[in-house]
Amino acid sequence: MLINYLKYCYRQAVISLSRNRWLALVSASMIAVSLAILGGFLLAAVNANQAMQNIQSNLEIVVFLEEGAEISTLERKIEQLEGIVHCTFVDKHTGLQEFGRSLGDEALLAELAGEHNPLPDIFRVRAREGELVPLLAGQIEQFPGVEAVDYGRELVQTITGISRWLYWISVCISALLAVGAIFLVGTTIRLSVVIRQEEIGIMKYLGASDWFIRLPFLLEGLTIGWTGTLAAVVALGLAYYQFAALLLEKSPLFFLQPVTSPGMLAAIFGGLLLLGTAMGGLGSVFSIRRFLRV
Amino acid sequence: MIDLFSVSKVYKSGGPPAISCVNLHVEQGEFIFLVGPSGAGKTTLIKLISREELPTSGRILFLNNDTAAYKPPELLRHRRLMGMVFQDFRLLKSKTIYENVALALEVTGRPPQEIKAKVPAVLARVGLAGKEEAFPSELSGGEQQRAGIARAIVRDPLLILADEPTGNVDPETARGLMELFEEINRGGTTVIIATHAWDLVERMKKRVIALDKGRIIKDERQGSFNHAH
Ligand SMILES: Nc1ncnc2c1ncn2[C@@H]1O[C@H](COP(=O)(O)OP(=O)(O)O)[C@@H](O)[C@H]1O
Ligand SMILES: [Mg+2]
Repeated sequence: MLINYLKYCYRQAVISLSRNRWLALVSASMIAVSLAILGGFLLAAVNANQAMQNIQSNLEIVVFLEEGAEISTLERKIEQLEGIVHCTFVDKHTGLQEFGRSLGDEALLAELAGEHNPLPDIFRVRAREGELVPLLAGQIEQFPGVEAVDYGRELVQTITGISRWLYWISVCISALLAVGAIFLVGTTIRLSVVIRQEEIGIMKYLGASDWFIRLPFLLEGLTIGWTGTLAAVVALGLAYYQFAALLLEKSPLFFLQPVTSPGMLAAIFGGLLLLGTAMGGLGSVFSIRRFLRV
Repeated sequence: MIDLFSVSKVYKSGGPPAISCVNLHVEQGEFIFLVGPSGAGKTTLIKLISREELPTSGRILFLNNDTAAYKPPELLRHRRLMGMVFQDFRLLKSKTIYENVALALEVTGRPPQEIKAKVPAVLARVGLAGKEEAFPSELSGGEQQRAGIARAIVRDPLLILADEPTGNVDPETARGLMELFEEINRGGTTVIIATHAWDLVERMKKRVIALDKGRIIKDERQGSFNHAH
C-alpha cells in the first residue's frame, strides 16, 4: 500500500514537473548556482586553511636572546613546552655566517665578526602544528632572558583575515541566492497546485487524506532541490578534481597542496545535498501551507 | 443510518436559514428523492449529510456517530463510505474515463491488481464497456454521468449522494440514469437524489422528501422499500 502510494506520488510529481518544466528548470538552476557558489567558497576556504597550516608549521619561531641569557636553562624550559619538535641554539657567530651565506657572499660581513657582531644569539624553534605557533611564541616571549620572538605574524594574520572575509561574503551571497531559489521553488509548486486545484477538490470528495494530496507536491519540490544539487555537485566535483590534479602535479609553492581528505570532501558535498534538499523542501512546504487548502 | 435532529443551517449570520429545523431518519438501503423549488435547500441538505457543511444547530448522526465531532480519520472514513454524483459530472478532462474511475481507488491506496480488475467491471456495469480510453470530452452528457456514477460506486459505498444528477441531460437519458440508480439501490446501497425532475420522481414510486424554504413540507413513501438489507 505504501509502495503504491509512493509510486502514485512519484507519478504525480513527474506529471507536474513536466507541465511546469521551464519554471522547474529555472528553480533547479538557481539552487545549483547558489550551492555551487557556496560549495566553491567552502572548498576554497578549506584549501586556504590547509595552506595556512602548511605555512605555519614550516614557520620557525625565532627567539632573540638578551645579552648574557641563561642559555641551557632557557633551552630546557623551551623543550619542556607542549608541542615543541626541536629547539636549536644558534650563536651570534654562526648566525652572522648564515646571514652572510644567505646574501651570497660570506666575506661581505666578515668585518662585523667578533666584538662588533650586531646579531643576538637565537633559538630556532619548530612547533608540531602550525596552530600552536602563536601560542608557543607568546609563552616563550615571557621567559626571562628572551628579548623578542618572531614567527611571521603579519603573514599569518593577513591570510586569516582574507579567508575569513571571503568566507562571510560567500555565505551572504549564497544565502541571498538560496532565498531566491526557495522562492522560485515555491512559485513552481504554487503553479502546480493551481493547475491541479480541480483535481485536488475531487480527490477530497473521494476521501483522499491530506498527506495523500500534499506529498506529491512535496516530492516535486524535493526533486527540484535534488536536481539542482546534483548539477552543482557534479560541476563542482569535476572542477575540483581538475584543480586538485593540477596542484598535485605541479604546485608552484610547497604549501599549496589540495585538500583531498575523503572525510572533508564528503562533509562538504553531503552538506550541499542537505542544503539542496532543504531548499526544495522549504519552497514546497511554504506553497503547500499557503495555497493548498485540504 | 442517517439521523438529523432539529438541524438548521444558516450561511450568513442574521440571514435566512437554508435548512430550518429538519428531522430526518434514513434507513440503510432506502432510495430517497429530495425535491423542491430552486433555493429550497436540497443542495445544503446533501452537503450537510456529506459533511461538506456543518449544521449551525442540531445534530447529524451517520452510523450513530455525530458528524460534527469527527476527528480527521473519522472524516476520511465518512467520505470513503459515500459516493458523490454531481450535476456537472466533475470528471477530470485531462484523464481518461478509466483513470477518472481508478482515482477513487488510488486515493485510498488500493493495489494496482484490484484497480485493474474493478474499473473495467464497474464501467461495464454502468454501460460504458469499451469506453475506458475515451476522454470525458469524447462522451455524451449521459455517458459522462455514467462515468461519474461508476466513480461513485467503484468502492461499493454504503451511500450515494447525487445532487441534480440529471440536470444536464435530456429526459430520455435521465430516465436511463435513474434506472441505473435503481439498479445500484437494489444491491443494498442507500441512494439520495436531489432533483426537480418531477415526472421521473412521480413514476419511480420511491420515498419523496419535499423541501421548501429549508423546511420539510412532505415526506411520503410512494413505493415499496426494499428491506432486504
Ligand atoms: N455557500 C452559500 N453561502 C451563502 N448562501 C448559500 C450558500 N449555499 C446556498 N445558499 C443559500 O441557501 C439557500 C438554499 O440553497 P440550496 O441548498 O443551494 O438550494 P437548492 O439546492 O434547493 O436550490 C438559498 O437561499 C441559497 O442562496
Ligand atoms: Mg441545488
